[in-house]
Amino acid sequence: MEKALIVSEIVKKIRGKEVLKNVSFEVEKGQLLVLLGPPGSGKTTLLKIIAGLEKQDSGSIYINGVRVDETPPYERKVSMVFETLALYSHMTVYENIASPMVAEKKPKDFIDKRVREIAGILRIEHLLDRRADKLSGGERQRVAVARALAKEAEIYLLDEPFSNLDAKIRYALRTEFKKLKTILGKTLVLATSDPLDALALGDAVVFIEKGEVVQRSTPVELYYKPSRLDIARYLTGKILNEVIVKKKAEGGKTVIMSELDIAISESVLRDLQEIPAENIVLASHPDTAIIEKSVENCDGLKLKGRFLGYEYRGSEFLVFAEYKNHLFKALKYEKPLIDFNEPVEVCISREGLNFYNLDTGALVR
Amino acid sequence: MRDYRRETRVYKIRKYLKLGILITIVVIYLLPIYGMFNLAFRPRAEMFTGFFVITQPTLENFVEAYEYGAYSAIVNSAIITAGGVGLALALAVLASYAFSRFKVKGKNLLMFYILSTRMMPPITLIIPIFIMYYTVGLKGTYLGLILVYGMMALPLSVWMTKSFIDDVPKDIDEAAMIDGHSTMYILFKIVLPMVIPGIAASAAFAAITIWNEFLFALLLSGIDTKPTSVLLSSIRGERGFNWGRVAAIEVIYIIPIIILVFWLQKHMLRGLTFGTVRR
Repeated sequence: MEKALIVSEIVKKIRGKEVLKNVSFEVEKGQLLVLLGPPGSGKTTLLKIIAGLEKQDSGSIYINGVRVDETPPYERKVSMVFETLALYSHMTVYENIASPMVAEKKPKDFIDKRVREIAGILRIEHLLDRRADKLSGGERQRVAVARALAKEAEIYLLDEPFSNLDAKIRYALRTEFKKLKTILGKTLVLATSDPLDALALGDAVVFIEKGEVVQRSTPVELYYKPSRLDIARYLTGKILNEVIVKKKAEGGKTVIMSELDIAISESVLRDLQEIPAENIVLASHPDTAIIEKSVENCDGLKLKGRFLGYEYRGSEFLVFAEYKNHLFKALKYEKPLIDFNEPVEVCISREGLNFYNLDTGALVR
Repeated sequence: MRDYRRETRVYKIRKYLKLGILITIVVIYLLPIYGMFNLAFRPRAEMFTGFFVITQPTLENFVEAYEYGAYSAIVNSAIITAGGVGLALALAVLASYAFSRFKVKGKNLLMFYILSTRMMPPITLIIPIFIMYYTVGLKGTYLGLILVYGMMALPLSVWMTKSFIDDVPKDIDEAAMIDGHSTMYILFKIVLPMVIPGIAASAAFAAITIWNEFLFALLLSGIDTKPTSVLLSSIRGERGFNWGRVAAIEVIYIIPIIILVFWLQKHMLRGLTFGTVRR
């Protein structure tokens, strides 16, 4: 597959502090790559370096196979949607969208046709005569995307395009964006701190933390096999199920111990024996856990706890159980018919279990 | 038990006391202005009879002011002020954009230096400037006055304009750069229209400074370029001092500034707090 963008060993220091540490990744033509990471991880700086707005201390950027390190932003064939949207507030929506074409000195007829075409795609034709500072949050977002699309670029960079929007508009725009991506078939790099954006939109995801690429994978792989415990926690918010176990050699045998009174299935025990680490965190998503009055045939971890309640999440229920001050969570599609504080059994299936080294945080199985 | 009735009474007394003090202060400040307007419309015969009431208001003082050359002095003031403000802002906009957006070595030191020139007592400069102007033939010309006033208004204009430009996110410039626009296009077509209220406030402050200036005007203006401030200082009547005429000229002199301040008061307030308020 042809590479639209190659980011090679980028290092950037700001006031002596290394904000990007040897960052490398590639984006294939027509692909949507998501740069995911917590705020302050260096995503925006990286996008600005790709766009040519900031200069890296070392490393190179290749666009369509051409090295562009010394090329000014307007010659890079890159377009960008800024986190702040950066709309020209004193201009109309029409003038905002037309801006890149005005800069390219395109004929008026061409500009008019293209502005209306893009406005049609983004469903903002009715706003063309309105001033940019008289728009709502969602409308502003659409205009910013429209302006970026008006430039004929090879790569479109989007910095937190859905931030500062309420959940409803965010969801609607995300769905629309997915459609738009299919229609346009352009190469896109989207930076976000919201795992949902990455999982919903990305063809590939690069996870960045403290200026370092920690994982590059597909969204599904990232969600179910995060390479580090902190990524797993970041991706699920605070609803990851975690159990710590310790391995000890006693009389020529390896003994598995846990602070919790847990029944560990034979298969998981075998897995634990094979892992070359002593302190291990077993982590799983709530969708691979069950909380019921009683659970038969549990291949994984099983423990007894007390029912704490549930949270209705629109299409599913997040169920909580407590055991020795540890909170366990499971996703359920029917309303749980269990009373508060009633004894329950928790089963975390082996299929969804990831094994992390407690000391390094790295995925070991 | 709390005596709410007493507390309400105390609160009301305090409120009216504060209001009374405020009204007194306002009256003290407005009284001279009232006196000026009052004298301007008062016939000469009634000049010193009673202060508050005019029995027969007249425009004769304004006619006399016209005959004395007040209107051409006002035009001179307007030309010099417009020129000085224009020059100061043209330079201030370019300088403040550079200070706000580009990496300038010793930026803070330079900004401080610019402001420090404002702290220098103007009288220390008057002799060298006078000799210089006399030598090159700028004394008594509009250009000479515009140049000196432009320089005088420049430091504050740079500081104020920069604070307004700082408020425009850098992303705006970067978006325009990616669009493919030149630096000058970005400054004049994108950033500047966004800070028009700020520019207006800077212009207002510069205009007030220049409009009210007396010392440089006295020494550097000529017969044809004499502004109102100089004219006012040189008024003599054939039959003693004509207070009515002086007041009429003052009224004409003060009205443009009052209009300007009322028109731009919101932006000027923001300008006064530059550096302390961030939007």
